[in-house]
Amino acid sequence: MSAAVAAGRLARPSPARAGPRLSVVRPAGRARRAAGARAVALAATAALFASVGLHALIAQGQLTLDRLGAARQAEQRRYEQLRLQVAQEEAPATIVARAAELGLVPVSGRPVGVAGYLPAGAEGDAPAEDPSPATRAGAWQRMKRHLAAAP
Amino acid sequence: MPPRHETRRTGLARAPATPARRRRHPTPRATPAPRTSEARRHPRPASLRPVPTTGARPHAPRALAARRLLLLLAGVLLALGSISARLVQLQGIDAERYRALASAQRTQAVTIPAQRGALFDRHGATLGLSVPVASVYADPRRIAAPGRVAARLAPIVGVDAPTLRAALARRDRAFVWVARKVDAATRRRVAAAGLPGIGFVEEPRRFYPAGDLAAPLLGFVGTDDQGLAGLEAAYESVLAGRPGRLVDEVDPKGRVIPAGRRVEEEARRGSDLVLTLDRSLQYEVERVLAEQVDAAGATSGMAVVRDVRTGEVLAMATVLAGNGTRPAGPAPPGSVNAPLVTVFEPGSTMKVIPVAAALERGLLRPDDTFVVPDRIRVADGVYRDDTAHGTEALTVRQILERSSNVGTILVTRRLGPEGLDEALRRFGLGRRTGTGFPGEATGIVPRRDAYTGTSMGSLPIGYGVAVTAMQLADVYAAIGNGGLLVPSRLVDAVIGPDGKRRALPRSRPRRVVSEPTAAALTDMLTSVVEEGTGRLAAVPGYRIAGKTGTARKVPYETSQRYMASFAGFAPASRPRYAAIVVMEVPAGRRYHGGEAAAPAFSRILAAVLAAGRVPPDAPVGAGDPPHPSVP
Repeated sequence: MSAAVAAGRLARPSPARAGPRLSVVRPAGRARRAAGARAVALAATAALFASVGLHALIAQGQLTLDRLGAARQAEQRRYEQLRLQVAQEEAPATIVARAAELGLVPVSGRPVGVAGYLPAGAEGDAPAEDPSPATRAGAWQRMKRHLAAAP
Repeated sequence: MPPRHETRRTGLARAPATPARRRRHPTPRATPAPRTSEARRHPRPASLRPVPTTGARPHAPRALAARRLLLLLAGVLLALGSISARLVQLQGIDAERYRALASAQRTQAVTIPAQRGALFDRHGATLGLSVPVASVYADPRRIAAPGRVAARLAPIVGVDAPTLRAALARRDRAFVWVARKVDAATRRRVAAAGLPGIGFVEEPRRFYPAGDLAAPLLGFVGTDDQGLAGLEAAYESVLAGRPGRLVDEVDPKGRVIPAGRRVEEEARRGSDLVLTLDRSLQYEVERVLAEQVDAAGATSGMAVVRDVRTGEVLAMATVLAGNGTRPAGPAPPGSVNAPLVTVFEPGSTMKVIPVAAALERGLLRPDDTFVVPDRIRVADGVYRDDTAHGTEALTVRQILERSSNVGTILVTRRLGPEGLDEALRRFGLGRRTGTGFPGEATGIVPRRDAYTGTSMGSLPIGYGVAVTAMQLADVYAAIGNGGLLVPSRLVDAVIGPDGKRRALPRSRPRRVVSEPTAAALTDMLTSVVEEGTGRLAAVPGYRIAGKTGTARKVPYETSQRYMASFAGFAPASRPRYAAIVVMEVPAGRRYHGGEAAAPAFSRILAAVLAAGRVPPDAPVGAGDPPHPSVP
């Protein structure tokens, strides 16, 4: 077969093999894959930003927590210091020293009697089964009950 | 030949078997494959080719190669074995150790100290508490000029400059203490100095707001807030709490990685102790005792006040004499808590025990009369009364009123040695009182089988036996409580970190004498104060029951040093409080318990009865000067 004959066969297709005119089309599967890839990339980017944002929020929260913790510690420390100060101020030696500064003098040591006290064992005496120290109000009721009827 | 595209698809093209391939996979065969070239005959370099020698065996090179291969194989196996063994050691046997080392390299653990529980008195007043303060530390790695930093820092924190410089120069360390638990002003000055490598950590520091009040009883803590003495040590497990821990991941420079792993174990605060002490009473008892120590010229004094019904100790004081620059005052922290730790021969305060035992056993009646000379021989010893007198007929009451040694010995003869021994132990002598105080003494009570001939003369009058002040206070508290001994207590309750108060279990009371015996003894002891040697212990408005005691310190023959004491309870009609005052080595001629100790007892009981709002039980003006009254 000569070269010319062969070229003619290629240039003129036979009517039996003629079909629809072909054109280059994009395969549907590839388009879907591309769209999916873009969506995944977008989601990954969004997730990345969200993660960064969340991390920033957590870090900020932690900072706030640390700041509050430090503030709590400072307040606790201040409370303890004030508590110590109160305890020192109300210590007997402090009170006595302050009283002396104000010109007060120690008592003679003799107890102050109460006119009309009830003898031990009489009605109104501290009950035997009550070993706890009487309260100030309770003592008043017991020892000065005769005043209750007074105007 | 297969198509080209098939070759691409499989990636492999089967090559025909060639002599070269066969050489790579030699198979034993009887005759060597035909070799067509020099290279095929000698595959190894010329330098490695065995040199044929005349007369050598034809298989020598092959055998040598085999041996070399074997050696190589052995070496490889040995190396692999070693590596495997090391791997097993690292990953298996020593895994924990290396894991810990690795963890230590990349983590930093900080101990969070637990806040120590506080000490409260019975009314909630604070006696001891821990407050966080700053401690100064240095990181020598960050200090370029240790000498300059030490020179600036030393005067601020009050440490020796050369010592500090030496500490700061240790570049191999990342942490050294500069000063522990400094006050706020020092902290501010250190911070203001702005020195590199200097930092602060907070540590709890123990404070006792009332100063030396009850210091020997409360005890003290060490630098790391651990109890070392007194109740601080006795209740260490309750007070200490549990320290926490903070573990952070750090970078190679030791900086905490912000988002690194963090493990935090919170510290658990210690529990608070509620003592039975009354802070105001304690102060008053110490003040009175100090004045009496000064007045009597004694070297020290001790006192205990307790509730006869509950066993609660309201005050426990130890006072030391002044030293020229300062007056007598409460013993400082670290001193011996004398009422529980110091033992002494009680002298006549002991006489109540044989009398009680004889009454209890029915061997004696309160109105029994004894013929009492002023001296008596017991075995090879002669015992005298304090003052010479003729032979007299004395009742038991009078024997106690006058504190007659001879009379007491005569009473004890009715009791016998076994009875005396049993009585001493029944009242709790020779064993601890149950307060749980560290170092509490048991006292010394001789065993019955160790009695000597003079024991029946010495023991009844308080010699040859040693007691603590607390034990004697318990003896008198038992009599005041109708013969029922309620063991003494120093701690009432524990307040946990949750704020809940839990009362501590109480020891069971035990009866030592019957109520009638206790009542008879109370009556006799009241006479001691109203008519006998204890008159200076009287409290206007109240009936006081008690007994004086004077004991010569060893060596008896030459010593002119005495222990003067007074023990008793009040009010006699319905006892609420028992107390004892002991003065050690009072000076001068006023060394008797009725002179050196009884006045302090009187003042202490007056304060205690007033604080307890106890109604007076003696008629106003009956034998006492009138005292002020309010309508």
